[in-house]
Amino acid sequence: MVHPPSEAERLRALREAELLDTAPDPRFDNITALARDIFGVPVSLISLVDEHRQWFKSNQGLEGVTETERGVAFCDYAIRSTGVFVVEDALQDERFASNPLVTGEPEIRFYAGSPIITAEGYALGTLCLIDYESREFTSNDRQRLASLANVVTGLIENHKIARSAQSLSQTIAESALINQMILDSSDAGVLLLEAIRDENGEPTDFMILAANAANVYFNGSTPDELIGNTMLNRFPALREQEHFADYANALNDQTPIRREVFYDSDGVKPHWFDVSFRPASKDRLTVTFHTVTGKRLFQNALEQIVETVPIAASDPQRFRQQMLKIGAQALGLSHGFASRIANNQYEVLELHGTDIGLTQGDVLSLEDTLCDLVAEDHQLVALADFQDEDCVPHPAFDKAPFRSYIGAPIFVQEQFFGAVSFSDMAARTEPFEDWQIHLMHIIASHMGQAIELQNAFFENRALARELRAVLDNVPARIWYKDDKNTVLRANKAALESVNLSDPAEVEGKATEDLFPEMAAKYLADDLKVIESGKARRNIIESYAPKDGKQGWISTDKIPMTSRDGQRFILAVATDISELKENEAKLARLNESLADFAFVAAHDLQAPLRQASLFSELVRVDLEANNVALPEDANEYLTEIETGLKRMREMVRNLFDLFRLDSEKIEMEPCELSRVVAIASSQLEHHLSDANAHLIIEDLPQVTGNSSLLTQLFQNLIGNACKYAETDELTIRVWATSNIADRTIKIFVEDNGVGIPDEARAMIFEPFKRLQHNDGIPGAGIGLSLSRKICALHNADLYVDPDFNSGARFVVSFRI
Amino acid sequence: MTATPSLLIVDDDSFDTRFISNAIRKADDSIQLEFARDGADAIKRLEDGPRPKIILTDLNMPRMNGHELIRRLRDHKDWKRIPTIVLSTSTDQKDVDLSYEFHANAYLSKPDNLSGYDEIGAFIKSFWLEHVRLPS
Repeated sequence: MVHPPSEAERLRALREAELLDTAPDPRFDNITALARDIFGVPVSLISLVDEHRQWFKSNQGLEGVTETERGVAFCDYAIRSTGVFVVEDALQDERFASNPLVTGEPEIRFYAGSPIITAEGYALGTLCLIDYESREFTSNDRQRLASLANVVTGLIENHKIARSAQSLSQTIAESALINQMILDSSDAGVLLLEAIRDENGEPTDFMILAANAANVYFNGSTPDELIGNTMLNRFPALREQEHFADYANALNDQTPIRREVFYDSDGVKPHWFDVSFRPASKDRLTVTFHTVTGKRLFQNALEQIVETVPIAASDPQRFRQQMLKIGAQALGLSHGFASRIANNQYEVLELHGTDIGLTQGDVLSLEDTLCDLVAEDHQLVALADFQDEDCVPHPAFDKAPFRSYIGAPIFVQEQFFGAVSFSDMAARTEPFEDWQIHLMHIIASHMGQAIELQNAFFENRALARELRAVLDNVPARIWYKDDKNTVLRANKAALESVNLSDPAEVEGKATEDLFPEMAAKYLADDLKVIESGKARRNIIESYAPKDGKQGWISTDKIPMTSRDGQRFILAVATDISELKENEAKLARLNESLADFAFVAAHDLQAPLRQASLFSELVRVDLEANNVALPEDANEYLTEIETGLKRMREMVRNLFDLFRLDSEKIEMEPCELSRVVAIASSQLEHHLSDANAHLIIEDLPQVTGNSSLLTQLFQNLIGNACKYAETDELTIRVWATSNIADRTIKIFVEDNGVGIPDEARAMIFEPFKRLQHNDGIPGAGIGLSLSRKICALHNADLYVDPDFNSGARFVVSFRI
Repeated sequence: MTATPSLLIVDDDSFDTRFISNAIRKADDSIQLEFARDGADAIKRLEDGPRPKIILTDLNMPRMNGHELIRRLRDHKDWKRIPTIVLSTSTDQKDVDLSYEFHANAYLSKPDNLSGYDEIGAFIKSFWLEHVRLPS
């Protein structure tokens, strides 16, 4: 189809009207409804004739139909006519008789259309009437339809004006927004951009419509230099940037995008930027950006510090080097120092940066360093430029080659320890920022903690070394084992006992390898101790190491549990081989001593007895010869006789005492009632002399040697008679048995003088006599002999301390 | 067989020998006393000389003790009937029992006073030499 030369113009005008494919508008519908009523037709339309179609902006009577092909459109004829175009009977009109809309549905017979012509003279479409029957259309009708079409034209013109007004107000709003943003964020750069699209409608570049002054700071361009330029012209490297897609995406998706980007090209100061893309309309967007370099550096530094902290204990030197490196990098300063400060001296612990004639371990006078300021108040000191007039001069300014400095105090266990500081030969153009000060505190605090850790580590190590030295120097053998008989650790003495010297040789070794014969018993003992949780001490046992000297040991086994619940045994063994040997020697010595005493007592008996006999013979001879001794000599002879008699008794008792050691004693069931009866019968004279009343109660049977037991009770009852000092002596022998503590107690008690408290312990020692009873017969060996007899019967003999109305001896048998 | 009863005193201790012989002589001066200083000496005398009516022996002696002496006597076809009396300082029941086990005829403790010796002297004379019928 050939269009008039103005067709392209007409189509542009149609598009600019922004009516095609828009929603129904009641203002247009009112007109079509009116036209249908006025002319009494079933269909009235406002049809806009597009390049290949006619689109109904308003439609009365052809419900469901929004457009038709331009080729079949009656309206295409109408827009090209100067006035109202009428077909009274389509069947009779050769142009339309074969039109499918006439021959087929909806079988149009009548058409009348008046073109809608804009102020510029373009016919955009028609206001038309349709009927399914032919009819007449008068000139009056034509006039009225043309008037209605003019109203439609007016409406379209109004719509166009409203559109441009809206567009204007949007522009105003955008500039207001920019102004607002410029006001709000003086340090943020702002650009208003408009998309430049390719033939596919894809934005390829962006025209800079507006820019604020902050751009000078970021990219060195004034707003005038930016406005009217495109982004890619001004920032060619942008094309290569990943975030360039955000410009288009923000527009296409009509959603704001925000991201952090690093940009160091096109004369832009290298920075991390926080960039926001906000769509303002279909083609326009605002881009705001501000620097987040500090934040980024701070974050990076923190991440690196976190990575470095774990080596603080294991490799403190590398830790310090790393911390200085991280700090210098983040702060943008060339040199870093860690120092210990004490007594006005500055000791370099660690340093970072190019050589400035200092090395680790150097000691400077504190006042020659800027850390002097840190040490003064234990405060952070930040000097961006020493030559700045606000900066109070310090003597160190001239000593060091630096122009800027930041230093923070290091505290170790809350005590000032030293400083961490960073310097640069260049002055800073701007003061230190908050994050940099914050970072300094973090670095200083980590340094302090690392030093603390290191101190603790060394203390631990020193302590461990000391402990090891202590353990290695005690004579006891110390074994540390687990509950599977594996040796974990052993001290020097323990190693030596198995003929080893290197601790590594026993660590992890099975006890069986070291003590093949004893391992099973050791483990059994260990487990007993571990399970009971109670230490066992003085386990005396022989030991037979695989490659060592055999002997005797006394072992303490102590159960231990580690923090994770593992069970261990600490065995502390003392070599008692020598002790055992000495014990055996002593036993032999004791034996021979007893033998000697026995033999001596035996051999002394004869000469003593004979001496008595000879003294008697002296008297007999004197008498036979009628010689009277002078009184003194007679007295002396008597003294000799008394002394000899006493001595004989002592020797006999000693003999009895030692005889018990040298003899094997046979045990048998003994009726104590009988034993005591025999003892009392042998004491008949003593009892009657003391005028004593002896009461023997029911007594049990015990296992013992009847003759020794007879001697025992004879001694005890005899003692009661000896130490009576009363006219009505009553001696009572009675017994109790206690099943619970498995004892049988025999009591021999009297109502005599009793035994003073202080004497109770010593009466059992041989030849001790109670002082106030001198002159009472007996050699004072009776009770020690009695106690010995009791010991032979596994019985105790003691004085009942609670019995005060005389003496009560207790013989306590174990059953 | 001699008319005078003879008595062999076996003791290593000369004082004790003196006390007992004094006591026996005091009881009967006519009793013939022989002396041996231990068991071995006693055996030798028995082999060499005449057989005594009664033997009085100590227990604890060097070379051969009293028990061994008694055992030897009892094993000897000629000596086994000689009445043998133990006179010892030992009060140990085991010594007493062992003596009788070897067929000692009596066990006496050495007294610790003169009257005790006198009693023994008188007792030996009246009991062993006057009342008791001795073997051939």
